Amino acid sequence: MSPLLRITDLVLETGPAAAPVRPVSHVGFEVAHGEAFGLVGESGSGKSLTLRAVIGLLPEGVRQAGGTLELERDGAMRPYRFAEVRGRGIGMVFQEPMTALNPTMRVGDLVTAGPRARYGWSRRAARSRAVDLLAEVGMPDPKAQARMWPHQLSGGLRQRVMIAMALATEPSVLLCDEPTTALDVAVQDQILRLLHRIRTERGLSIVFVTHDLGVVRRLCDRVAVMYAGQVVETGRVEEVFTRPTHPYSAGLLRSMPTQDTPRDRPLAAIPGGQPGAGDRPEGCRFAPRCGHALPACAGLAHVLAAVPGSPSRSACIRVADLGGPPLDREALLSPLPGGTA
Amino acid sequence: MNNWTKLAAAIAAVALVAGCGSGGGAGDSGTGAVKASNDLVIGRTVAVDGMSGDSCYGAGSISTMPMIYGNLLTNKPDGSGVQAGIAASYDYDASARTYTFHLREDAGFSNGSPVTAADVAFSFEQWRDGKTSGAYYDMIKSAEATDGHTVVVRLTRPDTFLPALLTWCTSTVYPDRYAGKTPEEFFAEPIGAGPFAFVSWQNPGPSETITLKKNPHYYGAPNGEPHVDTVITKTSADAAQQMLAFQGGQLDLIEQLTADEGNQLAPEQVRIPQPSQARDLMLNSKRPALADLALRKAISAAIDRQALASVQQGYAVPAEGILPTNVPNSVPPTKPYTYDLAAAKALMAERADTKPVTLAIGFDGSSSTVSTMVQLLRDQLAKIGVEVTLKPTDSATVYSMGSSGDFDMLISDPSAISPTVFDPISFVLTAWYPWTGADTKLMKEKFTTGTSTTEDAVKDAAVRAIQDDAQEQSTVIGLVNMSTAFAVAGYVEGFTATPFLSYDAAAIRIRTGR
Amino acid sequence: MIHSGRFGFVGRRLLQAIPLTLVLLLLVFAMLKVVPGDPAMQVAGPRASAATLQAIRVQLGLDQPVWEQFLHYLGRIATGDFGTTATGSTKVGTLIASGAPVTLVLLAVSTVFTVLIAGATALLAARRPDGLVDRMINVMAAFGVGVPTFWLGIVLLAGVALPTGAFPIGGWGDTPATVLRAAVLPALALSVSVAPVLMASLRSGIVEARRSEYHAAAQAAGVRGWKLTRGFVLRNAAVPPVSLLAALTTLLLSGAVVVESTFGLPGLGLSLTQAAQNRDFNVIQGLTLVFSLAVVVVNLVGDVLVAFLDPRVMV
Repeated sequence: MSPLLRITDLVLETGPAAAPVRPVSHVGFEVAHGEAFGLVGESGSGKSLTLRAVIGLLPEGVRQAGGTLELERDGAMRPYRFAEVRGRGIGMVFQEPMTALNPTMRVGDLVTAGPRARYGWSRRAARSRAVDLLAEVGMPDPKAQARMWPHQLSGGLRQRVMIAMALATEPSVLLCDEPTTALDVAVQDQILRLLHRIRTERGLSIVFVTHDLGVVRRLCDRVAVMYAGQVVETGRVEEVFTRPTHPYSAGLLRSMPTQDTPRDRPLAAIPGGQPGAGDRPEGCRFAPRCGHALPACAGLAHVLAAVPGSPSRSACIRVADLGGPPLDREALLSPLPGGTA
Repeated sequence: MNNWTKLAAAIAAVALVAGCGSGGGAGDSGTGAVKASNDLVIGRTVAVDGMSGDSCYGAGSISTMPMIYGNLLTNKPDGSGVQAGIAASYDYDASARTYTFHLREDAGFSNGSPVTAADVAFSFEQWRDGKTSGAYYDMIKSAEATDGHTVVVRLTRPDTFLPALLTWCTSTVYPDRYAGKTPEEFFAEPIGAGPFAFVSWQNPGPSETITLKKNPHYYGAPNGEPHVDTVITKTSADAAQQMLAFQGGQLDLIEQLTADEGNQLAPEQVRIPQPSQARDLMLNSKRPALADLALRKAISAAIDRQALASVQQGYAVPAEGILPTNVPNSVPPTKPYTYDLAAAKALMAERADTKPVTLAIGFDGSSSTVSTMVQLLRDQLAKIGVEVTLKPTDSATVYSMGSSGDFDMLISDPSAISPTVFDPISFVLTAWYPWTGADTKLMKEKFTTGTSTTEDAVKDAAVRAIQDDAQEQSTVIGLVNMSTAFAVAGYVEGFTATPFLSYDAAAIRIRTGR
Repeated sequence: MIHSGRFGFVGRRLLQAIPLTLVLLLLVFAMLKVVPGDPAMQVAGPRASAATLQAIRVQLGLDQPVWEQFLHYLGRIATGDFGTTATGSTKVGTLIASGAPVTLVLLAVSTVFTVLIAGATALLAARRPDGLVDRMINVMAAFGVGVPTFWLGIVLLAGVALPTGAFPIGGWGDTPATVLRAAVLPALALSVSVAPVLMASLRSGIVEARRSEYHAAAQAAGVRGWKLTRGFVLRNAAVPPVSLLAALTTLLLSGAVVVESTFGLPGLGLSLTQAAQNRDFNVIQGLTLVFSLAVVVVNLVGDVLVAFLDPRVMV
């Protein structure tokens, strides 16, 4: 599949220019046409910031200090300006449907605000398109609900509106920032189904940020695992989930509860905690918590390298082709159950 | 379109509105100045009380009524007495207790009707029966037109006050039976025999505008009077704004100019008549401490009147007695006030009860000159051991404190509005003496003497006796005598400032350069 | 869009205004009776004889028992008779009719200026919160609130009207064009003291809106420039300022008294202070009535506007 979106070496900084703090450093990944790409990690890993950086909507005080963002247009990958791609090429679905919809606008107007601004749709055209879009995202009564206010809808319906709003401008990439985190499980399921359907029907690419591995498994084709502001592993979802190539990914997967997980014992958690943006160690950031760490890890420059015998790429010196004493892949995996929920 | 455009649009709108049309005003106010149009724009800070003579009470009415209505007699410009008005002459018969007025033949109302004796007789009756000011006319029994231009007025008692009373703004000559209108209709559009005819009274109240135009039937018309075509009076509450309007050429004349304002103008623009307004201090002798005459005299001796007068440099002089000066028959007391701190302290020691004294002084806090004077007074009286607490209020409260007797000390200005000192004397007699608990016997007696004689020597003696008596009792104490000045633009000619609040508007000319 | 619920709301509020106004009238009436100062003496002067004063009191109806006076007054008001001024020369109704347009125009122009000044400065300040421009604007805002209105009025007269001749030096006009021209400087003086408060509220609303998720969502969808500011910033930020503006209008009303005095405008505010000094009951009561109704209407309009702007507000 040919690449559609490529992020290379992204660095985000905050704080004074003399002594910056870098919540995201040297993050890169590629998303192909029609591909669903998951960006997974715990809170504080920098995944949301990375996603916002793609469309340039960084929060106050955070700035992009390095890296290239490219989108494929007219057959070639080209760096883009944010003003070009917002509402034309890239769309975004936000996490909290409560706060992401303007409370003073009717749902229908909100959904078509983007295309009206971007493509100059007339009021009349916008109104009928709004109803179509709302129908597409599965609203039960699109015509009536288009005239409603956001606060009159349930969380699940609001999220559908959010999606409709992002779709209205016919993007080729849909960025999703934990869109289901704020919803209950049943609704979550519906939204995921919706996203899957839309992706198939429209041939969209999706970049899906979440901390929920189960969701990634359901929806995504490929995944990048982030830790402490860096990507530590990328690969196809089935590969990463059954044969992880980084101790962190393995630990994550191990700690996920499944139907076979014994209930009378504590969950297998990774000891220690993710370092905050200010106190990240030199070299491999996971080393302090890693059961397989070596002294060499502390001096390791971060690079995603090929893993022998696996299509995934990894940053672990002991797994990827980086010259470290190899780790027994079985050791990494056990006691990993055969499949996750 | 963004916020910059909004801001720019707002500025542009203001500039557009401002740019439309020229600015106001005539040229500068120098002596070579001219004004384009032959109209007089007057600024004042006191609104009129109404268009009827009966309601005339404040400075605004005092100035405006004579412009619209004629009086039988008017003030001489130098304030030395009365002169002919609509009445060309008069005779007084003391024994018959009648006045006979001989009217001039060329006086006309603004509606064209000539002024006849019937109009004047009717007017006398209206004055006598007036609800607000009728009491002043209680010497009038009846008035009769004996022929077309002769009116005989019968009195209830001998009285020489009447000629002065006839110059007052309450003595307005009306057409007989209000020219067939009801009083309400008439006063909505009054018809008078004065130099100017009523045109309009817009926004009655503190920001009103009164417009008058030349009365072609005025008896001064053969002399070209009035010389201006229109008079517009603009009332405003803010003196500073008036000053600016004057400097910008929007006002040609300002009435009741204060010292602060006058000092901002060139000397040739300010007319300061002789001081004729008294400012007095009232001491309530019904209060325990002030019942002691020694204290009251001590207070009077401890006041440095020169210092008080310097607050309004050039516009005030120290008072010699309680009455206004520069008014006919006003004479100082035998011993004018002196500033004698040693004598004051001696008097303080003579008191029956030598406890320290604290007195409260009520005054109109909105007047800056009064406030400053009161503070000076406080410092001066502190030197003799009298502690003064200040109670600034407004004039209505000052009056009500006075009439209810609920005060220690008050400051008030009984001013003269006619060429006789018996006017302010009557004010002190009916109000301040009773309110301060003074003995009115002597004042009443001398007032009657003075108002029933025609001899100046007798009048002067009566007034002197009143002044001495006031000093003796020391319940009303004179502080300063003040002038109310006028601001006059350079192109205004023929204006004479009188010591009273009225002036002859008919004589005013505007230099139009034509 | 306005469904019956909102009409009912307006009706109810107007009905509430009636007891409110009655209570206010009663309070003012009671206060006037307690305050020292004799209306009759204000008419005739302190030298007037007791008989004259008494006659005037009878004419003004002051000799009746207080509660009777109040009831008679209410009765007359109900028939539209506001009585006359104490000197009897003018009907209070006429006074109100001639003064109300002046004060209304002054307030309207002031409100416009206030909104424009607050809007422009809020947008400027919110561009870069805590930046140099923001700080400067905050300092100017503090100055604006603190500066005494009468002083500012004189400064405007002396510094703008006098030298340029573009505005009358005090006074009102008699044609729409001259009226507007006369209203500019007084309205400006008035709004300078009030606009900073509105600006602060609007500014923080704008900053908050710009930081919100829905603003980011709109940007992601391609909305930008003025459309973004209008639909996703101002519309949301405007809600608290609108109700604030209603409250500020009453502040403008009391400020109008000072401004009318400084500029010599024939409005109601000045009439009220003069009437208070003169203890002119009919004028004071009449104007109190007018002012309280005005405040009620303004607050009502503010509430309706808020409900209109923010659909979450239930009326």
